[in-house]
Amino acid sequence: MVVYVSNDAGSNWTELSGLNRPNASATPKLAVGPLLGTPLKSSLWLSYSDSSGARAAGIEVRNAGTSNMGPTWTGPTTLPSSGSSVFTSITVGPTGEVAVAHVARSVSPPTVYLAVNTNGLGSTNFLNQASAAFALKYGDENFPVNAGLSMPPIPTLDWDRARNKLYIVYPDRPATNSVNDTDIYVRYSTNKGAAWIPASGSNGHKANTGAPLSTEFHPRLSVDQKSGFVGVVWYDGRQGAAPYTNAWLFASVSTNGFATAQPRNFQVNPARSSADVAVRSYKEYIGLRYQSGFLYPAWLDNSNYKANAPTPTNQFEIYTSRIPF
Amino acid sequence: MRVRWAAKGIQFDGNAGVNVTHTLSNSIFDQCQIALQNNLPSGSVALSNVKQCGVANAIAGSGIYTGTMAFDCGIANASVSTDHQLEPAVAVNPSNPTLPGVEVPLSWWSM
Repeated sequence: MVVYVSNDAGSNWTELSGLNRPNASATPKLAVGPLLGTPLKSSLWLSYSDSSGARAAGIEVRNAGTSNMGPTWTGPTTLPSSGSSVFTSITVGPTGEVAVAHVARSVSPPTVYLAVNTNGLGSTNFLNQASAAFALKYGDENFPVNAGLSMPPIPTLDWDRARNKLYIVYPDRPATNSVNDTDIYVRYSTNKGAAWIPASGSNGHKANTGAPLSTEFHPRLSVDQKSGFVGVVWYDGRQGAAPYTNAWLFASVSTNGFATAQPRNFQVNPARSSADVAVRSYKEYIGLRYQSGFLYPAWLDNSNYKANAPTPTNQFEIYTSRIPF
Repeated sequence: MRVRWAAKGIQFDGNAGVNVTHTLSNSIFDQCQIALQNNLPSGSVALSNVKQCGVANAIAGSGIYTGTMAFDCGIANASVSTDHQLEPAVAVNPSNPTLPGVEVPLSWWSM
């Protein structure tokens, strides 16, 4: 795994050295902190997993340009309770503090953990927030909507820095005996993960409004830092019928910071994708940014909605969209 | 015309026996509860290049209309390849988001 940085919107990339190129690492995620102090400085944080579990590392960003990065990475730090964690999500708060969520899948029940470093680049100390140990009702299980392959529950974080609200989204079953029924749950914290609304132990606020017995999965959450609106997208099987192998991209936007559950859902792509062709899985792949009044999702899609898919047309393409909200 | 967040985007009313055709053209409705409320007992509404995104109820009312309200949330290909395309990520330049500043780094390989 290598980290590259670009200063010209992606035309040119330069390797960011000093990370020791960790071996056998997977699922890297990046987050950039706010500009703080005099002179202004920011931070770049990386989370990933390897054979030791989930890790996090940060580096100072003094100004634009690789020559002003560094001088050295902080960490990488192995996060507590992450020995079986593969998938991480990382975000940076208003004063440079860092939160990393990961799901430990080999414990029973599978559990979402949140580790917080309250001193940012000034520390390598990530501590679990006990109130953010969200016990899940499923782990590595196979679902028809994902071609009968594993569909791990993966959390995503984002921090509304202006209003100091830390959000987490993850999929879960409504009940342990639910069959092919998963929902999208959102919680938020105003004290860096020490306490959550809704509290741990209850289900979170549901983002989806789909009927029971439908599979909603792989959510991503992003906050528009200007408005504080919270966008969520996910793959949704609500319009399917047995054997429940079709999915559509759905979205919702909370305009009150998820003070209330289930903001109105809307369908981004009217055409279905299907993972039932030759065992093709969505894995954990989906992306979202919410910036200045527009949602920018990116997702796997083999609906051939644009009618321009190369042959064979059932292979996954990456679709994106610019949705005003 | 672009209508966003409306409870009702546009409404046509008329009296029985008044046979008038209204045209709604080159419009998009975003995140509306109802895009078109058609209360024309005798006339009709002709839709031409009208689109919707996130509309709960595109056309309400019992009036006659022609044309369609196409679904359009601005979907576009981020890439075109003859192989599977996987693992998208999105980044937006916050200092200049009004430009088409979506970056979609992606990787793809055979599964």
